Amino acid sequence: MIARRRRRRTPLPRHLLAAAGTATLLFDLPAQQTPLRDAAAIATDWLRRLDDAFGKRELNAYLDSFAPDHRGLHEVLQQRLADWLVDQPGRQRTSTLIGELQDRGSRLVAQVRHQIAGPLGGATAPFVEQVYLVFARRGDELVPTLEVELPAAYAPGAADQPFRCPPCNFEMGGLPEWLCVPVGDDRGRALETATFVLLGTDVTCELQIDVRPEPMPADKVIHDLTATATRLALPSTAGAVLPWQPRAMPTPPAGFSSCQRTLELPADQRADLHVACFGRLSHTLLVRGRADTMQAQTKALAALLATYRMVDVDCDRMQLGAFALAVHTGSKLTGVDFANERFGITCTGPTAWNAHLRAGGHAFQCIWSCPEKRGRLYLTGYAAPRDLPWQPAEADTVLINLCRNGQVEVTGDSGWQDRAGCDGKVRDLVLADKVPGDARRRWLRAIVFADLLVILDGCTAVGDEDPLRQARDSLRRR
Amino acid sequence: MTAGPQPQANDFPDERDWLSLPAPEISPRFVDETVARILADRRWPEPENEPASLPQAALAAFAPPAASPDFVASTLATVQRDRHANWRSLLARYVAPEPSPDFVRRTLRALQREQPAPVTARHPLRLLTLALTAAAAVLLAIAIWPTPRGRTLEGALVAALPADAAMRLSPAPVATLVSLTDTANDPFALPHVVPDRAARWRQRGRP
Repeated sequence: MIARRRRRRTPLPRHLLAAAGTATLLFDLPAQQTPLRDAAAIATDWLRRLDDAFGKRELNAYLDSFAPDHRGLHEVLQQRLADWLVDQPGRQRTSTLIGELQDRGSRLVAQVRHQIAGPLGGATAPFVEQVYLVFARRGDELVPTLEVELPAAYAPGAADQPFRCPPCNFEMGGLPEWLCVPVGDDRGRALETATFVLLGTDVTCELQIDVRPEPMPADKVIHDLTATATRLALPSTAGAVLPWQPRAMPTPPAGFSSCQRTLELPADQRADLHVACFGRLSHTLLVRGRADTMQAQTKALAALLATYRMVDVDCDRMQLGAFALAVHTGSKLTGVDFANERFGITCTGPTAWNAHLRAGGHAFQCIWSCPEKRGRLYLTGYAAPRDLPWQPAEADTVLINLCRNGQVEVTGDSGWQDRAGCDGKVRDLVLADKVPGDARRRWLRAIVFADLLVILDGCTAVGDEDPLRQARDSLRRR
Repeated sequence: MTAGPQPQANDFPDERDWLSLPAPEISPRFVDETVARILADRRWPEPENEPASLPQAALAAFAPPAASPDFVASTLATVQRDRHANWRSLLARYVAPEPSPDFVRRTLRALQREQPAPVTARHPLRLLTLALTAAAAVLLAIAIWPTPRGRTLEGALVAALPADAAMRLSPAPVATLVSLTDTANDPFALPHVVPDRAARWRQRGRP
């Protein structure tokens, strides 16, 4: 969709518009700033115009209303809108301001609630999403420069409050020039994710908190991330791995490791990776933007990085990951016994296998692995919001995508069945890797409840199926 | 006058002279003594109270384990998977090469050869007009030609994700980078991505 739109457009008008927008933004004077009371009315008017473009499915009109601060985030907005607008017609969007506009120096920030209505089909309620809409002042007018999605049920704190999570043992931010945008679990694929946007620039700092299967040194994590970026042909060059000492932690605790690395990206972009590891928790900070902007904003960047710190450095670091997972997902592991108290799920993995919990944006995930590396078992839970309960047909879509993306073929299928002692519907699949000659046995069991889809999938060598079968049959829901 | 250089009285004898010397007499015991010396050098003291070799039980500990029934098949599958991954990685990084300056020069020269030679010499004013027009065209092209902008990090990472993944529209691409790193480190895993909530809602609304 993005590529198609690029081909259609003539670049000259875009250049002229961008030049005009930049010129007007450059010549803004503080004396001409719009009073906040009027600004709220202007922002509300903008919401009406954007909703109008949405209802008429005018993607270009919507996007051209912006003088984008950040090209990458504007592309994400473009893709998100395109997903809505290429779909069936007849949808209307109603947007409302939540709370007051925040005056953040060069930018005004509005929290906005979009309510999308239309053909509901099987859905029981309109779709609701929240965004930050950022405006620049242009004389007496406002111009939107950024729209970025927030978690659906997000209640923001004050601008000077840091983004913090004691179970994940970190806090960061609280500077008015940096807009903190928390990222939902599903989009962030971690315990916590947030993007800090330096308002009025294309510089961002992304923070992600993840739990590793086992404690890992920071330089190993940074090497792995660089290898992935290189495989995707992202960086043109990667600098040396350098030590990084968070300023707020002059004396790091035992077992703490941290380092940084600079990646040169295409189109004069630069990314500075910072990684800090403590126990099984790893904190990844990705600072990026145009190389010259980052150079010009060195002080602002240093100020943000100086706010990053671990809340508790005297804790038992071996328990850190388990505690964070228990708080965020309600899961715990005792030996090979998995239990999730939030959804009442229990499952006993194969005896003597290694087990660990992960946080991948799911309701829960547990992985058991054979010590001889001959097999693995994955238990994954997908939660459903109350207004969008799971149905077997939707679970089918998930299964189809899982098999297609995982490059496996279905060679046996039980279909959805009712099983004694189970409230959900059960479906068993036998899978085969598309790689010819693979002799591993792979299977999958899906159980769909209204609020939860559970997928248990395992693979093992021929002759080792019994322990996995026993683990599969041990899955229960209270 | 002589034809060549004359040998001088103090010249050192050359190799041929040395080789022509008669060999010295070899004593009858020379061979026996030499062989005995060599054998004596090769001998080393036997350690005391140590068996001549390790017991069989100890050696058995180092025996290679028996191959599992699926060893060959799983090894082949792993090799195949690695080949797939390597090819995919190589193809993903492939960028069509730019034509070299030499290629362009040779092509232009060949095209010129196909054109008829000018019948008359051009007037200097006409040449000047042509040059000015060309310069104006170049300036105009620079002004309106779209500058190559390259992929954004968001765009590059979106392309590497399944279309149904909620992470595809994340405002934090670092999440995708970490996710893809995990996938690379676990070849057994199926891609358990969280489906996009909005996509589910839209799917539900379809007739």
